[in-house]
Amino acid sequence: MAKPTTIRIPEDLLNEIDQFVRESKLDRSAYLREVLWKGFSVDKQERLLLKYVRGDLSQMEVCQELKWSPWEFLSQLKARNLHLSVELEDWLDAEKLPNFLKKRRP
Amino acid sequence: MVRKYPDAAMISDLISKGAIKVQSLASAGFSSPISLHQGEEEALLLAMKLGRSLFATDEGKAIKAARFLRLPFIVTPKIVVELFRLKRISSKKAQGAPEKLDKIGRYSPEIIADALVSLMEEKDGKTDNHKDT
Repeated sequence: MAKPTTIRIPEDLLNEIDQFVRESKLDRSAYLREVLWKGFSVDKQERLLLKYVRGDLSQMEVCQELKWSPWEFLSQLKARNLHLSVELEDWLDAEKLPNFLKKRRP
Repeated sequence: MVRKYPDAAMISDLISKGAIKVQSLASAGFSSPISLHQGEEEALLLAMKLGRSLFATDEGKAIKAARFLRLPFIVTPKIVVELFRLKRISSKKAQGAPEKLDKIGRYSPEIIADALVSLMEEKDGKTDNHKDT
């Protein structure tokens, strides 16, 4: 159920929206709701990914929040030219696999 | 599932073949030093309980927790280099993996470049001595 709320927005932005809504023959309220949904979705993604990059959130925490699969998460990182939160130091400090795994010659 | 989640299908297959064992554990009482997703937290707990185990992850936060808990860890590019060193995979397969980890896995270019250097050193018979330098 839609609930009313009040916000103050700059006059020039409001004028631009009103003009666009008139020209496009759109329903003003429905259009504003749609823009809010889209903007909120994009902003939420960006903020959560920023938290991931900073190491505040894990990949799965972001996936849970945004209802993404791990594959979707990776493709979103790619789309934004971002990388995993694994650091060079982590790669350098990573352990070796035990030698007993070495393939024996037949 | 195979088309949409090929990795999940592969894991499921390995479980049915017994190559991967699924363990259930009571995580009550354990809380990671860093907030993590349930799966990562349980993997950490399992590594602690099993002892002499290697915690494999691609999650920076989980690595921080592993460091805090003094758990040995490994990341995917290192697994590739190590599998090549241990002669479990061919040079061709090893060389192709970092590219996938870069493009699909989103590993940082610095790590990918270093992994490729390590692979070349292994191929040339030089030992990886990052930790000594």
